[in-house]
Amino acid sequence: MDNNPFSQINKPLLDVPEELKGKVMKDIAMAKLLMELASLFSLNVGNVVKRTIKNRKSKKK
Amino acid sequence: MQVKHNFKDLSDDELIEGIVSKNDTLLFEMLYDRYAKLVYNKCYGFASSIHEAEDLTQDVFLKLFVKLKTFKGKSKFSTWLYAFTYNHCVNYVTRNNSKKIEKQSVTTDNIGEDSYDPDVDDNSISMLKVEKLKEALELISPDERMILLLKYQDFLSIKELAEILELGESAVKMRLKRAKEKLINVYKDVDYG
Repeated sequence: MDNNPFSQINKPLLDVPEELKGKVMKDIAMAKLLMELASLFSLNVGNVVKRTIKNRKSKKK
Repeated sequence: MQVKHNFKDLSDDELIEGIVSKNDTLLFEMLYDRYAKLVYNKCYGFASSIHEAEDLTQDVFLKLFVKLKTFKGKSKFSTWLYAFTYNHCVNYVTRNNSKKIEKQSVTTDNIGEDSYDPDVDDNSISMLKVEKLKEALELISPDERMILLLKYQDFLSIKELAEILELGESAVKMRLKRAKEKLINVYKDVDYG
């Protein structure tokens, strides 16, 4: 489409405030910690099945 | 696979793979550097202030870190990120400003099905004036704004829109058509300058 006015919206692009990166990365560090803590307490069903089967097979031998 | 020592050489897909497999915050920081300006400006389009745009951007990146594993690589990452950002903004605006939007949209709500112009096409869009268009976009619903921006600002195809919005292509075409018609009608009512 020629002369698309949508391409002119929000131009010129604003620069991102420098302090925002620090805030975002602080959030990410906290999220990572919580995700890793959650993974310690969650049940990995796939892994349980795999280990059970492996255990069962080794007992049969 | 050749190990790339310079992270800047990594493609988006490689970067994402690294982030998802190890929750690597260093790689995520690189992803932020690549897309912060884009996300920030998209958020600004839905925000009522710079401060609100910053908050929205912060939220989008946090949500992105947690949900990055849901990106399956069916579309370009940037395309997926546009939709991800818009979705967050639309939900935010709908949740927080629903009453305000309802009030602003009162004139458009009165537009019945019969008043839709079936001949609204892309040529009509190209005739719009930028400042007036900005105002008109604020007066239509966030969902309509999102689909129009994805199509005409980010140039997503109908197929990409269907994938991203999890709709059929005919549903996308219908939503797009209605959004365009509504925009044109609202645009006519905007008293600018």
